Amino acid sequence: MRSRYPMLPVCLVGVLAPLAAESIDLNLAGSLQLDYLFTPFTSADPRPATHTLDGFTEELSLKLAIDISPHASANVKVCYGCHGFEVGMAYVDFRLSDAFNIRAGRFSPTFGEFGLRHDPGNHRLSDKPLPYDMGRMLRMGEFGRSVLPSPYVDNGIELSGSHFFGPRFQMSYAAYAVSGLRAQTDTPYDVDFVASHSASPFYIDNNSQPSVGGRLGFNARLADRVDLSFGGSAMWGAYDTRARMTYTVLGADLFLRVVRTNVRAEYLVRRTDMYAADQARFEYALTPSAVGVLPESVFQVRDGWYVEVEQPILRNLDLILRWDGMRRRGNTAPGSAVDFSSGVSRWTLGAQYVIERGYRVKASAESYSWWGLRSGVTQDWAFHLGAVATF
Amino acid sequence: MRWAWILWALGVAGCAAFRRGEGLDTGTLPVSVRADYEVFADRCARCHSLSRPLTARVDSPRHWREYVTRMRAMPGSGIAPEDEPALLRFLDWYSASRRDAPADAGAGGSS
Repeated sequence: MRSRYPMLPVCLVGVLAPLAAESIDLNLAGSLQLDYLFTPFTSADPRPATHTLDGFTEELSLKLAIDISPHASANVKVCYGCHGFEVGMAYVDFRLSDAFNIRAGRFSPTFGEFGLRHDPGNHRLSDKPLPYDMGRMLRMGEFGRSVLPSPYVDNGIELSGSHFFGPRFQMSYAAYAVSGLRAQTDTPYDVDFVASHSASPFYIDNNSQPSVGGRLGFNARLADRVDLSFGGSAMWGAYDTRARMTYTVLGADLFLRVVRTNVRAEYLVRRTDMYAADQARFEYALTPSAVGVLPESVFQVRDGWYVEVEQPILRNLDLILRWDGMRRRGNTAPGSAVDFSSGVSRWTLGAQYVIERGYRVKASAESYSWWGLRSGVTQDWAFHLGAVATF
Repeated sequence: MRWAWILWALGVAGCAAFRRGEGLDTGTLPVSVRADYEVFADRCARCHSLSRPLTARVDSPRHWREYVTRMRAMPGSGIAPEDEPALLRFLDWYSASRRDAPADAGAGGSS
């Protein structure tokens, strides 16, 4: 119930803004992606049920953007995917000036560069970079979830804005308070991302402590058709039901465009407390304090990165080369599928072919290299073929 | 390996035969809007495909102005206030030409 209070400004703006509006402009847009993921396996390496979301998957989004006035707009977006129907956006923006925008409601807090492109209609490969993956990576049941699955949607309020120093240099910022990442227990090992997506806890925070974060970014137009952007992001909060276990997510992003070639790179790292206090919960020995008491918490570190080059070959054909990866370091539960230190490195070569404006085909091949998996697997291949429509 | 190269060559040739892109063919645009279109293509393609605005159900100049302002306010959009006049000139022209064009012909043509 307590987390419903941030919704109050949404309701106020939503009720008051139309009173000042001359008329309201609506725009309905959407996208859908049907992807087939093929993962060849040998009889010596049977596929576990929690391996990945292989076969056909569909993602659909429908977004209604409402320009209430030159200063106020509202967005509502409904998504259909692996978790069923969800509200991906339901917020109101109130722009006092370019440098000061207030966003309140349910939205994706600004973090990194990929967040703006998370929709399958906006990124050119079938799946997301590993640090932002939300289920398509192989062996996610063994390795665990990504650093910050995208889209990360939450309830709260965000202040943002930008300022241009002349026509070439832009500085932008965002700062927010949201409900935060969650676990449905007070003795967690890790963040439970499904808890943020399942329908029942949508509007109810699991603890009374908001999470806070923000991003600071710079954009420079170095020459005609040459842009360089870079930024840093941070997020902090408590995620267990008693608000004792905390997490910190840090990120750095870089974007370089030279004529028609785009280079994107990001690095994310998440430090997450794990409830300890009992050696039986862990495989590796906990270190007692000076008076012989086990710590209440230990932590794990999960980091990830990607470097991606998008190169148009023809007017309707782009090639995409991506190297991404993820690592985990920290104690594990007894019988865990991973060692104290484990990780994955992946190379992807893909293509996007435009059949007609708004209709595209995506194809890609991925090579995974693993380390620290107790199943002994070190190499995997995966192939995507998908169709995307934006409308 | 030879088959892979043959398939690759056939694929590229096939794509080249159907050169329909997400954006407009600048060769079919009036000279007066080509520079504005370049600004539009350059700024908007950073975060999403050009089909997004080109298929948007936006028609009036006032709605385009609000739409562009909303996009410009996105953190890290890279769209400067100085870009807005060119963007709006192109989008207003595009809307007008789309209204005037036959139902099956996109403004500026995509092929």
